Amino acid sequence: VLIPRRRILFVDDSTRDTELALDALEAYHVANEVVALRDGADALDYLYRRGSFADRPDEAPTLILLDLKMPKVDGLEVLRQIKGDARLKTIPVVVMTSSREEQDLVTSYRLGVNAYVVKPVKFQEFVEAVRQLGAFWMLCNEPPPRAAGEGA
Amino acid sequence: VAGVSGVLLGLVVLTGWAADIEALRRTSPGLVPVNPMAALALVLAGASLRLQCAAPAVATGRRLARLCAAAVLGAGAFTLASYAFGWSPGVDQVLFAEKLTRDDPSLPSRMAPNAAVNFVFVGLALLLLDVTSPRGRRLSEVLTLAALFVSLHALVGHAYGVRWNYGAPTFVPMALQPAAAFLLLTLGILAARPRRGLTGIVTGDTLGGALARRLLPAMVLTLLVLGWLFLEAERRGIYGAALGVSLYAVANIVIFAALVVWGARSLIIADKARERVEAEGQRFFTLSRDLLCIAGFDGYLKRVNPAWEGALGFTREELLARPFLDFVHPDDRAAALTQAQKAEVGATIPPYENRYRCADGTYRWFLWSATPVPDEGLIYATARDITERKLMEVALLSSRDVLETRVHERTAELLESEERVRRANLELEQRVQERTAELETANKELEAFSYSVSHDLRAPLRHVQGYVEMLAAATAGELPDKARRYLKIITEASVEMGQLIDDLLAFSRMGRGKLRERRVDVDELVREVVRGMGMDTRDRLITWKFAALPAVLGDAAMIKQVLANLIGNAVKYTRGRDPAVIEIGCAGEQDGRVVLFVRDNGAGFDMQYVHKLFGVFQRLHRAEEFEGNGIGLASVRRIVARHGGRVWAEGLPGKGAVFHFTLKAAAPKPADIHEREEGTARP
Repeated sequence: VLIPRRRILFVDDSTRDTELALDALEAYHVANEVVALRDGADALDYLYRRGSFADRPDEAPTLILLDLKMPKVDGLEVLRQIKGDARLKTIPVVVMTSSREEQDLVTSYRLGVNAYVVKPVKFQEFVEAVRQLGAFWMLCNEPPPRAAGEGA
Repeated sequence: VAGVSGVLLGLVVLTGWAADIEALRRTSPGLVPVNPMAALALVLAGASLRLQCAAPAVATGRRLARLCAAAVLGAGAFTLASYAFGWSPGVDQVLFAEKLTRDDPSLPSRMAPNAAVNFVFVGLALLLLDVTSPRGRRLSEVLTLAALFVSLHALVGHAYGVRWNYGAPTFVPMALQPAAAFLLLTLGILAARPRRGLTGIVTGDTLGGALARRLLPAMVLTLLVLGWLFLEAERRGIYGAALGVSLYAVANIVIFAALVVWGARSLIIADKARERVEAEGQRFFTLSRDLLCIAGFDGYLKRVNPAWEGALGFTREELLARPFLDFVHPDDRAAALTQAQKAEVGATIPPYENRYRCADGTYRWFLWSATPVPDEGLIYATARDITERKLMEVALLSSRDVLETRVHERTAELLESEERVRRANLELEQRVQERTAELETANKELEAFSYSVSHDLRAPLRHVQGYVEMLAAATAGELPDKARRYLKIITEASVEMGQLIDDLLAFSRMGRGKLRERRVDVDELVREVVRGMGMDTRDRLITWKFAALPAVLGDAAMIKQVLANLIGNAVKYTRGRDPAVIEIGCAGEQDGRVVLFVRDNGAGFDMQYVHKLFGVFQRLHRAEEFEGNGIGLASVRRIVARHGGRVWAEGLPGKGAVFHFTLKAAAPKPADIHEREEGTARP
């Protein structure tokens, strides 16, 4: 049985959070591949296959986990570009952030975010949240057909 | 009465002739009988007089009266004519002609010539009685008087027994009855119009009238009586003619002198009375402060009282020398002239005002009352000086103007100050807006700060915990117990710090959030809080004492936070008490606010540290004894302060503590405070 590649794009400027999250995702075998990026600019480069990602294979990620507060281009801007792009907007985007601010929530949902998760303070809860997120979006959720994005 | 008696007398004589009764024709056998024509004339004259005296003069009555008078006149005139031209028989012999000559053919009963003259006089007088011209009236009066004297003469002649003067010896003498009737008639004619002529003088209400009324009868009676007395005395031969006349003259002198003196005395008395009255009038005239004057229709003042000189400053002579219009203010002259013209026709003049010039050239205001007397060609007038009043009126008017101006000014000022206030308000509002904006900015900054605190402080904590966990996992079973205990402490510390950050954020949010004030049922909140204490009160013996608490005004969530903190503290610090007693009640009012309290019999505190009690992170107990981070009471103070109230505490170490706080009362009258036992809670 050919299992399709399940790739998660993890965008967070905190390397520690990234490491903790990767540890959790790895431990529960949620994804085949997790691409960790440090900021919004990198994320956009990756998605549009430019800059250092120009050579990557033309294969969209199954899920994008996006932090909001990042240097250069912040999470909300990345979200705006993804959801404003016909080819990219079908990719589920989950905002994962320390911010519980109402303004961020409102803006995210208006831009079309698929889920909004506040990073739990406690490590255990954080790990659990990441695991559940991965499990739901990668295993439970049926992704849109491949052609859907290009066609729309 | 004279008219009626004339008629009656005449009728009686006529009846006498008709019935041949001698007694009725003559009064005594020695006297001449009354001629029937004379009797008829008497009847007519009496009727005329009676008719002319009738109170409401009727036109037909008048005409009849004239007719009668004319007939009387005619009878007299024709008789006279028959005497003059020697007609025989005369007109007076037409009636009862055969009876007239019966007694004495040589001397037939004829109307005496003087009687005929009298009839002419009386007839004319009666005709002229009501003519309009004063001359005719005068003539009527004179004729009447003449008839009066003629008849009086005849009467006196009868009385004194003179024969010759009945008439000329060849003429028939006047009978007694007609003489008396003439006297009555003439007196009646005189009395018929009592208000004019001679009668007016006698009957008038004047001094002269009074004198005439006194002197005339006295004189007439005295003279007649005296005359008769002296005549009788002389006839009886008591003294000779010369002596008689001289005596008579002396008596006359005496009596006249007496009468003159008497009259003079009464005149003097009356004069004195009049003088007194005049002096009174003169005194008032002189005394009056009002201007009194008599002005002629010729435009000159005739008489002025001294007040004029005082008021105007001109002398009396100056005032009388020029037409009074010269003194009137030019603007008032036309009106004054109109008043004067009105006066000339005798119209009543209503009071009017005008200005008179003074000697110094100023003008004074006068209020005039004037009465014209057209008969005299005079105007009587009084004037009151109302200059002061006029000046006052002017002053009042001008002060009203001043006041009005002032009101206008004041109004303008008010409007201006209103405008200023409005502008100041606008400025203030703007400043408030600016300040609000500033505050909002500051609030935003604070929010951003707390955002970064929550975000940036939490992340490292998570990492500490995460890596400790990973370390523990990576070194599972390799680390000694001691190292594992260190890792555990690191984890606990990071958890504590997380809690601390959460509390701090909540505390800071409490100071910024909006206060939603409304009516809060404190009783209900207390019950909710106590119910929520489930975990902490398990296995505890706590005696709760709840008083009925008044409703307050405030933010329910925040007040609940206060109650939760205080009751939570009470539960915490009574740990180990058996039973713990926690009382929640109301301690009346203070500064219009409800004082609520929470009392416990727990650990209490030392009053010397009371000032630290409500500070952030301030703790009076060690963490090993009672857990906590020193945020709770700080929150309580902050919330109560935000509601405008205050909070204070009393305590005794080992005995317990009581925390008071005040809140706005929602109901005007707080509910009665009474304790009620809710029993011992042991779930």
